[in-house]
Amino acid sequence: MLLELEDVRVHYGKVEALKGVSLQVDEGEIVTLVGGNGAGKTTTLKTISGLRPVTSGSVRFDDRPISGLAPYRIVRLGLCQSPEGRGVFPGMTVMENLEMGAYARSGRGRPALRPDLERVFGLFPRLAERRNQAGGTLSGGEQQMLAIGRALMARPRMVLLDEPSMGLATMLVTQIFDILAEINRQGTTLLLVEQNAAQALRLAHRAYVLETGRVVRSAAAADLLDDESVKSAYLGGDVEAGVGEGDGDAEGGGDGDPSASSVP
Amino acid sequence: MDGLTLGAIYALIALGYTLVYGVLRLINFAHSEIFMIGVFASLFAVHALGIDVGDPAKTGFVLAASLIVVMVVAMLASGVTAVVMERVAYRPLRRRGAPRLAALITAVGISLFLQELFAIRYGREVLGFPRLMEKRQLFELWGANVRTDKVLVLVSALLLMLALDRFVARSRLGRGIRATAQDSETAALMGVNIDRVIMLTFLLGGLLAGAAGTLYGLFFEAARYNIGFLPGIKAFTAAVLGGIGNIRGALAGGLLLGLLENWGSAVLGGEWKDVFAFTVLVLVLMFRPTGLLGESLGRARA
Amino acid sequence: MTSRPGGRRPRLSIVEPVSRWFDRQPFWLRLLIALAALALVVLGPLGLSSYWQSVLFFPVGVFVLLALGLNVVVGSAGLLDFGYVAFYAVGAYTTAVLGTTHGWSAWQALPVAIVLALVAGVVLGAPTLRLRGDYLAIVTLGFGEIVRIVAQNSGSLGEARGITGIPHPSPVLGTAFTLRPLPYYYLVVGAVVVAVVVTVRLNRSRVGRAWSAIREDEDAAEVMGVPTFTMKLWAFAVGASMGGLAGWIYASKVGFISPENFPFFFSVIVLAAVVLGGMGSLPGVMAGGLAIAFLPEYLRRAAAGETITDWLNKLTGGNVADVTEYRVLLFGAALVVMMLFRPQGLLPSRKRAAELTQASPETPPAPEGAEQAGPAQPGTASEREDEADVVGALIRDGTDAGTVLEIEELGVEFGGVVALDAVSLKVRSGQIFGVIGPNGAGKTTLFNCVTGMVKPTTGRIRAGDHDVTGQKAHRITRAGVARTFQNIRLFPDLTALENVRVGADARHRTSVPGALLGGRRHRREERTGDRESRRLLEYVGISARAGDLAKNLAYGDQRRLEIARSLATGPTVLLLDEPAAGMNPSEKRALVELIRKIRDSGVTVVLIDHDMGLVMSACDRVGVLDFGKLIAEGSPAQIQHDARVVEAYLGVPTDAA
Repeated sequence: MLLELEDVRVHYGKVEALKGVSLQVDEGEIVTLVGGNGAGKTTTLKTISGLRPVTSGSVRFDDRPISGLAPYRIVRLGLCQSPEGRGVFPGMTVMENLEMGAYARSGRGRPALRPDLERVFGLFPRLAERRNQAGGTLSGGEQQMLAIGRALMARPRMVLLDEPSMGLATMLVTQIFDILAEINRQGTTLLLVEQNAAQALRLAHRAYVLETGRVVRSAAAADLLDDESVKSAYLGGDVEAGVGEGDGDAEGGGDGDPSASSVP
Repeated sequence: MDGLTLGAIYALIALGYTLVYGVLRLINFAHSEIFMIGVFASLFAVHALGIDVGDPAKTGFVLAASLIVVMVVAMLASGVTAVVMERVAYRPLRRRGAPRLAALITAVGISLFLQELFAIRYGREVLGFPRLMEKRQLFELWGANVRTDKVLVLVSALLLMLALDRFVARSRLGRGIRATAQDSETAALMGVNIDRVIMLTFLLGGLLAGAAGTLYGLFFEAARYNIGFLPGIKAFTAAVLGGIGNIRGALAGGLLLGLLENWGSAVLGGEWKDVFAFTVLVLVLMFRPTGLLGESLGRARA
Repeated sequence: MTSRPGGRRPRLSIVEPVSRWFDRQPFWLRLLIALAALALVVLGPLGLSSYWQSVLFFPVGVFVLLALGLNVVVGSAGLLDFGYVAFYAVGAYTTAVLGTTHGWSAWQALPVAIVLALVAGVVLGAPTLRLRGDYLAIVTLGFGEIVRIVAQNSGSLGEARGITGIPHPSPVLGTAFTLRPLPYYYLVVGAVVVAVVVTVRLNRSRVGRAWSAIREDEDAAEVMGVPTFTMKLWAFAVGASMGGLAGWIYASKVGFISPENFPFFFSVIVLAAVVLGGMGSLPGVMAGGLAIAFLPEYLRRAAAGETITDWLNKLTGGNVADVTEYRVLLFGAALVVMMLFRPQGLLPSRKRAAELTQASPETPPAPEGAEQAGPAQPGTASEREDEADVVGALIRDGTDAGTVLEIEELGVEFGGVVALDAVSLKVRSGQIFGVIGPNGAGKTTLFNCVTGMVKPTTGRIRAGDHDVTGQKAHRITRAGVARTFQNIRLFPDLTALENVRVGADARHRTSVPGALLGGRRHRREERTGDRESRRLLEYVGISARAGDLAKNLAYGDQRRLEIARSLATGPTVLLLDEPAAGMNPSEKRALVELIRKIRDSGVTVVLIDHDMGLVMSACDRVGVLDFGKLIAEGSPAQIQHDARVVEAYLGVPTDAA
């Protein structure tokens, strides 16, 4: 296992945000965490990256315990994150943002970064065009590309992605997810948190369903995609089922039925 | 010219407020004492070089060498104090997630402690500063009296500020500072060691305050335990004036405040100078709370 | 500073156990203790030498009084004031000038001194209270210095020489006020009693609740109908007038003042007293003032003083004879050490200590499935009817079927980024209106605009008959629009009941004078506010938690409390921002029940949520936002089959994978 969480509990003050989360990600996999707002997805990623202290339980990366390590140490082990809301540094140019991505590989000047820059610019040609533009002036889609590209600059073994589709138009989401698949093919393991569960489940190999701070299901992504209860709760409910797939084929007849909101 | 000289010193001190505020959103109230320690360290260094009050002024190489030695000593003393202060007082608070109020009260506590320590050790009277260089009028420019020491103060302050600006804009650590200022959580995710960046900002602020101490001593030729209070408040005003968290803002704010103050005391009389400066602070905060050039260390780009 | 959750505080309180022990004792014993304390304060000084009587007046008595005054500003309202000495100076100089150049007696000068200090508080507060905490601190510091420098440079104020010959108060009740300290000591004791009574009365009123709310979360307070600016100004004014009172007493006792009596570090010492004692705690603050003023005097006189001075001299390399020289140094060190090890002060306030002594502080904070949903289940039919009345009765505008919320061409830009783009909506009375859209579509911005937290760039908003565009948030709340927050913004250190009462106060009008004098309106509002708030807690199903601090409630209960607090403001429209976030299915079902109950009471509900099932089942109408534009509006069925919604909102069609 490349990444392993065992019974991880995290508190915000007195409120328990994660109530014993266990999950594994194998080398080369794409795993996704799905669940509603407040289910604990972002907290899980922040905890893995060391931004939130663990109350109990363990996080292991490459068979090394990493819970309790400072975030920068975790990055140096090859575990990077592209945070929610992208976290592009608004006052830095695209180039500077990418250089920040390579910050952990200390002491290397621009020449040493050239192959990495070429790789990122290869994946996202738009970034090459805007290399001297300030991050704050990029469009939402370009910022997301920059955030992903920046995470790759550290040559990570694994990248955590928090809501890469947030605030992006449909076309862009498809494009970004295609690139994520490509990045994975090039050998980087991905753990993906998504509100856009349908999209994420199509990309991922395996998935965990998070609900109020605990894992309630884990299965192959394809299985969850076809699962009625998951569909109604996390895939945009009946809307997705009714319109996305059958176009008016009113699946499950669940419109207006309160029980549609519940998962057994 | 007096305004510009004083303004340059304000600006050097203001950078310390600005750097720390940019990264931590903390007004390091004790920064004025870091400056005070710079003045004292300069005085001790001058004495250690065997120069006493009444000695003939130095010239040429001797002058340059002693100036450099004194300034380096002062910078180190202030820089080290700033770093120790961060480690001992602020970092534990940060670890605990203490409210900003706690940090501010701590800062006031440190400030009082350091002031009184110096008062008790070295007395509450003004200590004279030996004259290092001859203060000769070079020429007059639009009625301003251009004097050697003033030129020296202005030029060295500008050089130091330029060096800081380049460092923050160009170096890897400087990028780390800017990244932390813009979004510390994301910076941590990029592998930035936040604790080290914070220490670095305290160190840089301390170094500049130390240099300001030397220049102040050179210009005013006095040292006293509470000498940091007014320049500290005014440097803070300068930082706010230019937009706290903004490096170039500190420069602009410092020079502007120096000039304004000079003009104010010419119009209202010298005893109202400080009231004038405080009024400027209140007015700026009321009408342009993010300063003339705006907040954010991040935008201080090359 | 960056904050981390899970911070630990030392869990110690002295006031709480003592006061609880006190409350448990029989009446006669309590009376006896109170009388003994009174006797000690009144008679105790009689046995002391004139020197110690003088010390009891100044610095001890004056510092206790000043600490009480500053506590109103810092402890109650949470505003940091580094220039408090200014008000003390204003009181003293007023007394001095009136007494020497205008021949006023001290008693005549008393009201003027207090009023002028109060005015100074307003003059300082009005322009600066909009500033954020740290800036406010620096500006107040500047103000304190300005007052001192003005005194120093003004001929009419005696410049650096100061003013001499300030008259003593004329005799009262056969007590002559001369240079003897004792009468002034009793004067200070009287003033302290007044200050305590004022503080207690205010803290237990609408004003005090408003201050607490501002201290806890200023934006949330404003949205709950607290006129934050006015209330902060009141805190400054009340604190300043206590400072003025202290200045009056001081000046009329010593007969001589000069700018040197009012240096910056005086403000800091008073602040130190407040912080060391425990901000917001009256016994703590008084003890702090006492300790800070008394200890150095004691050490100066005591035999141990010399040893300690020697020891400190060795430690610092100094060479001073008098231990008071070390006073400021030790204060500085004490401030740092306190912040490191005991930030809540020596005798922390009951409120903050309450957290440690509540009956069930270790409430399992997380909603644990169905068993937790228990309290939410509606009661018997008759009970339900009764509860419905609570909410219905609070609605101010009639519930005639019409448009309760009308948004026209609303646009918002943040630095060039368009967050909302010409959104027009009408919400009709009695509906549950759902707002959906992808993250970042502008849903919360819409709520922020409607509630006045964000000023719209273009467009108009009408709530009922009121045009509320660009109005202050508390006014909009009073016009009948209430909200909850996506990331729950309760006042964490107030109890559940107090949280709701802050909301209920949006409908009340008592201010400082009413609360001080205990007027009829004040008493009526307190009574009805308390009753309504308790019933609202019952209405949302958490009455058992009324006395718990909000931060200790389970997550689901916090959401319910936030709804109760909003309902207490008496809204016609209630905006709920992701009320179901983080809830499990059974909790969501209970929530839908509650929302329907609220609707049936006559309150129109607008809600944002991501749970399609919930939105589609609970709402009568749904609006869809995407990239700041309203792309569709209609019944749930219409929305589900709207092609634009499918395309824009649902992401990629299946075949794209």
